[in-house]
Amino acid sequence: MDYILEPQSGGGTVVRLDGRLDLVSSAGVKQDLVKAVGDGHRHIVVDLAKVTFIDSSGLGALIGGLKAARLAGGDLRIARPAEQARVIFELTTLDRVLRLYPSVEEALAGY
Amino acid sequence: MLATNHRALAEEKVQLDAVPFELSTVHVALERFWSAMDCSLLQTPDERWRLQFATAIAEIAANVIRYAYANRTRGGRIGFRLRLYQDRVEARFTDRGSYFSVFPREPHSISTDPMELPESGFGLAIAHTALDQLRHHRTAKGTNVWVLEKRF
Repeated sequence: MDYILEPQSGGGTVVRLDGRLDLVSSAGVKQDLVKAVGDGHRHIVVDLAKVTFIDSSGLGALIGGLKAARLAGGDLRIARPAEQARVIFELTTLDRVLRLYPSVEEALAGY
Repeated sequence: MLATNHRALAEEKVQLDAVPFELSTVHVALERFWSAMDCSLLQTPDERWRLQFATAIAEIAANVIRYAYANRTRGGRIGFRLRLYQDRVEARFTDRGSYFSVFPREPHSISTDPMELPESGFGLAIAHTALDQLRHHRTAKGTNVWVLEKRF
């Protein structure tokens, strides 16, 4: 799993993930998200366009990052989920709790 | 209601070590299986249906990898089999590890407050929701068997 942090000049930070977000990578991604928040990146957009597969541990990593961001007074938003990501969000009904943005730009808006 | 047994139209079988990076072996086997299914059936399920099945498989695979041999220093082997029938697909995981004492849970309603969302422990519920049947039993010889079924 590749993880790239891109602070945006207009505010907010985009985290681009590439690969499978599952048992192999989820703990590391959660750690990276929590660290990003601790480093001052409180308004995060996670771009899932290149995430080919997410399992429940991957969802847990995103939820962990979201909680860290909110506790710091910020937020974590999900953008461009690929088809399997949409499936697991629907299976868990997390798509009713977490808004899934169709683009990074829309997710950044309002930060 | 249990699905009736028909002759399998296609089968994919692999053995894997109980380590997380072997999830790749499971995904590769599933891709081969989908190709075999496309060659075997005139009408095949759509991508969303396949991804639901794949998601359930990944959850059970991760569960078995995590827990089957957790109390052993040397790990162990897991059997993974996929079968295509005229009316359904079936996945089966087997291991000779610890007795699995947490039975599949029915899907539960999730909190609407993101701060109260669980960060773990909902994989079996996901598998339950994605499948028509999820069963587990342990044989007299000490083999754990997970059976995942999804009907067309």
